Amino acid sequence: MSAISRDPVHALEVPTDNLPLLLPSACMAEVVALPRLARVPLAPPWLLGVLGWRLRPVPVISYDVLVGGEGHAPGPRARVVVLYPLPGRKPWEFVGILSASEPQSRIIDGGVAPTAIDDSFRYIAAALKFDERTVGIPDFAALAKVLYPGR
Amino acid sequence: MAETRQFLRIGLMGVDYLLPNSTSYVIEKREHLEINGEPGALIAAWQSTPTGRAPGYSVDANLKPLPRNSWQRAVFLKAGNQTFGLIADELQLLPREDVRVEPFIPPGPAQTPAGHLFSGAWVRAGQAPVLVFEPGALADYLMHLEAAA
Repeated sequence: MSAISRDPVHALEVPTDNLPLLLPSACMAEVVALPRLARVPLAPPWLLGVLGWRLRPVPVISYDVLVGGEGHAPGPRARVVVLYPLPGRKPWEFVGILSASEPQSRIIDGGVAPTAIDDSFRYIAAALKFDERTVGIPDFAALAKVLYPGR
Repeated sequence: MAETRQFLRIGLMGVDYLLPNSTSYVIEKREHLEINGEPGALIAAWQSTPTGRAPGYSVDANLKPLPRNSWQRAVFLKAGNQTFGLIADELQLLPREDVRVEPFIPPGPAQTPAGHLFSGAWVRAGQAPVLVFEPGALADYLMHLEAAA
């Protein structure tokens, strides 16, 4: 398995209950504390609610629930990572991902190696090994398809 | 781009929704409706119409059917040739200039065969957003409640 040898990329490691996510900083608009969300009636369980962010409505999703895991009630350290719109979406369609706690800054450089992960971790484009931890880089195109089916 | 249409605020068990004035609706007081006396009924009351009567449904804050008696008003909206009502705890016509609605369709599949239940949201600083009903989808949802009742 070869190491990554491109220019270093800044990213944030987003803790979840299952596979931590690694999100390139360029994809993120802001990390905010989890406020009171507006619930969306009849929504899928992975849609936790709607966040008011800079006077915009932003849906907040749980990656854990999206991949079929159990959803735990967010604790006081929970954060929302507000992402820029996913591929093919309208310019105002920001989306938030629940983070179990404050995301940590990471740099992806030549010392980070790709690794294999279980197929059960869906919507992951690649997995990397950081120290002894495995993190997943989301497949944003796949996420867009599941979040906005038929749109 | 934000809209500045007029909106009706519908309070359901502590949760607010907005209904745009792009649809035809009528607010009715309880005393002007035919109350359904059957215990646990999904249809709380009927509105008399020129062609018969229109059902008014009682739902909770998540729009799930919930029979209840302590309500005073209902809003009836038209969908095609039919009229459907929603029992509400609070109804308030909001001044046009007070409400700034942003386009918003929640992720996930459409909740009704007629499409998504919501098409916008009103976001105010420091408060949870208020979702805006898509009238046709709301009427469709209520119509399917009737079929399930």
